[in-house]
Amino acid sequence: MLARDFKTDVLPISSKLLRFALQILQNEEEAKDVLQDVFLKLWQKRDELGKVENLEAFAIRMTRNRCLDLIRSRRTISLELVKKNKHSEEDCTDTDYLENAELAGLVKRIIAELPDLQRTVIHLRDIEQLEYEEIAEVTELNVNAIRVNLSRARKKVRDEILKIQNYGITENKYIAAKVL
Amino acid sequence: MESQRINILLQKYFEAETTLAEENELITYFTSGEVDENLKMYVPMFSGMKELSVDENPALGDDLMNHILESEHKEKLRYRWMWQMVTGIAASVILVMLAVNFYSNQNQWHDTFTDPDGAYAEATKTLEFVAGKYNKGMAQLNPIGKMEDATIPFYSGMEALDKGFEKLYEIEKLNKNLKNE
Repeated sequence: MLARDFKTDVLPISSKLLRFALQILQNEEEAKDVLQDVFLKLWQKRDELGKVENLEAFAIRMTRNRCLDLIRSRRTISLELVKKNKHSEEDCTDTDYLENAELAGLVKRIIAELPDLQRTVIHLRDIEQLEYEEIAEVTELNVNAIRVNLSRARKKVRDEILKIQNYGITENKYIAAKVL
Repeated sequence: MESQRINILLQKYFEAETTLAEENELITYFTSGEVDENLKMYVPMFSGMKELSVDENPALGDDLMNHILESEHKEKLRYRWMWQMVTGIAASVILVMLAVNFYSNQNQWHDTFTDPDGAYAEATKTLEFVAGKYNKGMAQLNPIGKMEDATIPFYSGMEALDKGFEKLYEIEKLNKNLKNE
């Protein structure tokens, strides 16, 4: 693969990979480091990339493995991260959370709290829009298992959002009752 | 009519049975702003998902390419530095060897004798002179022999003491035996 092809075929995957790494690591700095590693490796292997059937799935899988390695190596979650997450949760319980600008944050937060596999599958399907076969290549699961996990994840995201919406309504009613 | 179709799609969606095209149809519908009142509750989910897939880092590709080129450049520099080291060392070794060679060329032996017997006689004379000096030096070391002689009485004294200790040990043994009995 020539440097030019690398720029047109491989580099554009980067934003997808960054979102994916962020979703796993929940830390932008680490996610960017992982991405640098992955792309450096891809660049060094660029002569062999022509043989890879699905470059995108291949790169996503590389990123996933690299992220999981990193998680294994860090083992303990830094306190700072926990604090930060808690903080953002508090931010989100503001009354205007269903404003369009914050929807992404809300959905992101709900997805972040899903079990590992469900999170990966819903991210790859609903955010990155990968085909089931591609998700299978990344996760090394069969399509059936992917469907089961995806269905569960989607239902859970729906239920969480509905819960928050209802909570919002009851809270508004409460405030209204107070005013009256 | 449309909301009916959307409802069916939604059901399929939550069972993970929709195709990508159908999922895109759902996203388009829910982000269009014209959503049926009964379906409004799904708007946050789909618009949130759509929002998440928006590219937030347009310069990311360039950053990565820069990182790649930078680390390649570093690698090259490292190789160049190593190469410079190796060639530098090799060059200095060659220089030293040349210098040594040049120096020894200048100090080559010049034959001073043409007659072998004369050379032999001269060599014998020189060696004898050295041997004489050596013997003289050795003679100076004679007093050391005296020091060794001086230690002999000390050793014999020590032997007597040693014997005395052995006797003591035997007495102690006897003592033990007596106690046991």
